[in-house]
Amino acid sequence: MKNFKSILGYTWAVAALIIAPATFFGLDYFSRVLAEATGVTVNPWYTGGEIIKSIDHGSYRTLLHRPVFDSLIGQKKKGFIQINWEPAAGLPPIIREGFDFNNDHEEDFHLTLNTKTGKVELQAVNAAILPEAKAYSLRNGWAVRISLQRQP
Amino acid sequence: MYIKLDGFILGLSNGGACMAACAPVLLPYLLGEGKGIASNYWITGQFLLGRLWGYLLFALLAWMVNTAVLRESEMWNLIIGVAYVLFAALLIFYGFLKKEDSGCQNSCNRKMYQQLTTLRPALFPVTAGFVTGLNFCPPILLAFTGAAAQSSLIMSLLYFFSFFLGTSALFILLPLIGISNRFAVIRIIGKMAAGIIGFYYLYSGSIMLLRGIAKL
Amino acid sequence: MNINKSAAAPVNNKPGLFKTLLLCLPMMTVTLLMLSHGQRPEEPALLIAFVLTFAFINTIFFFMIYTGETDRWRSILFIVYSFCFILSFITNLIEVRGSMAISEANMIEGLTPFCHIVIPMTLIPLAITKTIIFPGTIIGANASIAGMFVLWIGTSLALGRGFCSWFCFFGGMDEGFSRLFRKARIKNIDRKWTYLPYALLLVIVLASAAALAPFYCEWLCPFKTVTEYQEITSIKTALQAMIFVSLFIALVMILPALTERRIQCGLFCPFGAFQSWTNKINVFDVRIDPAKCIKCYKCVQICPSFSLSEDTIAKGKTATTCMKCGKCIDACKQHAIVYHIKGTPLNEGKVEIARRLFIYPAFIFLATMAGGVVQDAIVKIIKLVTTGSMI
Repeated sequence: MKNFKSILGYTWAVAALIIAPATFFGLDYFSRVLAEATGVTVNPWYTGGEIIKSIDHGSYRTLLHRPVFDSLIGQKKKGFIQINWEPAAGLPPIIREGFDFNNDHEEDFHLTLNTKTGKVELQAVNAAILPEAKAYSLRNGWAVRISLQRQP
Repeated sequence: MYIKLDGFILGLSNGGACMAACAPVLLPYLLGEGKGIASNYWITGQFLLGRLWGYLLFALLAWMVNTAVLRESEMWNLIIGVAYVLFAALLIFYGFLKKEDSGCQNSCNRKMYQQLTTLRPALFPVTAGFVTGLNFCPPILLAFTGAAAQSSLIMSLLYFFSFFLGTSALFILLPLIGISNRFAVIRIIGKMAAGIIGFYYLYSGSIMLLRGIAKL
Repeated sequence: MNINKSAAAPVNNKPGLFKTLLLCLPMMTVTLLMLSHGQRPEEPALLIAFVLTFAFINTIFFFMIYTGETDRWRSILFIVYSFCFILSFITNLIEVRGSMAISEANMIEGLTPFCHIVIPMTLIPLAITKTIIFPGTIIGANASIAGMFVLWIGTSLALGRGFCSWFCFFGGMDEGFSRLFRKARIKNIDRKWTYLPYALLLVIVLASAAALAPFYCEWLCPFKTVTEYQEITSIKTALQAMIFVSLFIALVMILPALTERRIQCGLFCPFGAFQSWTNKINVFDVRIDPAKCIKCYKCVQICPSFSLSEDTIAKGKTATTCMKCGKCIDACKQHAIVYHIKGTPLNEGKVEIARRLFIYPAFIFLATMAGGVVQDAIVKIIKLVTTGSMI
């Protein structure tokens, strides 16, 4: 038993000698394998969540994300919905667009975004929309987040 | 089931200290009466049930304070803010500065526990749980404030129930007994964790207090 | 414990010059490959940085082997690495984002480099929601999330909590300040504070899971002061910045200097507490031979992570918080403290074998991590001298 433990100990110690360089030489490979095997993504509170609608306007496109209320278990009372416009080079000075995020074929809110100043105006139609909208200048365009409250 | 996360976190962060405080009451009984792990879990379950009743009584009291004092008050933010700040300061003191004592009120009740064990052994776990639940320690005072700030009786009860779930999480380990020599360490970590949570409540309370002052 | 009583005189662990050079050859090969990525640097600044870094790292390793001392040489590279990391990191941030401050737009774009301290906070949300609660990028970017997880897993398997003395890019700051003075001004520290990192770990893990945001990064990380912090746009973010700076000054600068200990690492860092558990599964540990120990307790006084006490010495081992820095081993005049491989006997003949089996992988981690940032820092300094700007 003592010898077995000893052999096991030395084997792991020698394995550490291999693990150290392998960790660096195989970093990209192992990272890809880890990401693919776990299917892990960045939390939607940061990314804005999955895109549910993409509207092509010729020189630019609008990307509507799903509403985010994600919580550890269940849903939070307050969430947001994100809209992206890209690419930056193709954006008009003023964007005016209406959105239906719950697919009831009725406009839920209307946005006006000044792509020069970042000023955003929100007209809410749906009761879930809170009067809080914030614009973010991204490397490849603009994003706006609108606060939502969960409807019963 | 709908869990009040802030109550749960407050309970969970304090769970180590709670378990270490309750263990001296429950452990001798488990060692004396317990007939294996299943039996120990049954006894611990009764003990926790007693503690839950104690907490729910607190929730009821908190709700009464809410309806009698807070509901119509213009100074809602101010009162809750002051309570949070005071109890959070107490929690920080309890977590980091207070010297170790014999453990809440358990030492004072030791005689009662001994009598109860002799006269009514079947009632011991529930009663001991109830008595340890009715304990005016800083985390419970903070939970009381949190429950008083809720919008309805159900929410106050849920708040304390979540607090109970948090404090009870570590009790799962108690019947296994093996960790008993770690109680001192768990107690220190639990108290420090509660102290750190105290800083969060100090911050929240200060924000409420400032809002309350601004409304005056 | 498995201890063979050994002869009274300690074995001379110092090899001759030729043997040392032979023992250094594998490290020279590995560092050559790691630092150059298999290509000769073309630009003069890069070439100078490469040569200087390669020479510096291998000189350190040479002395580590030649003198038989570990911590004395490790600490030099570890401290230089940490301060070069700050220089390299900040200048890179300014190049990529234009500022040390991270804006909400940067977060949406996933431009925040992922750091190992976040790992324990991500685990509960990862298990339940299969998402990472950090505004970074999973793969592909610099300091990507998956990349940092791989580095953490590799280091933990190879070194356990040795991570904190051979990998962590923040630890060297603490260590640097702890070596400012020759004597400790504060000697008696209540050991109950060694439990604070565990309490903090419990709170931040729970709070992060509840809020789906890395609580420690938002409120408590002292190293935000010298890396990046959220743009100050409100009273809340101003308060956060004040906390970061206060904690950095107190825990990383003043207290380590006054106590000669790594206060942030030993009494505050929740990642360190989390990493201590990897010592349980790691094969390397530090042992004390009771037959040789004369109970002078010098090691207890100097251990940077408070991992030695009279109790642990009586048991012949360190606490699980041991960072395997080797300071106690270097300081013990009786040679009673040694690196050890679990499961193997603790006899004289095997002591240096165990030490070398540990320092090779440990040094590869340190050299590779340090190599990149030291080279980059040298390039930035050359740029500053020649152009007047680091960027």
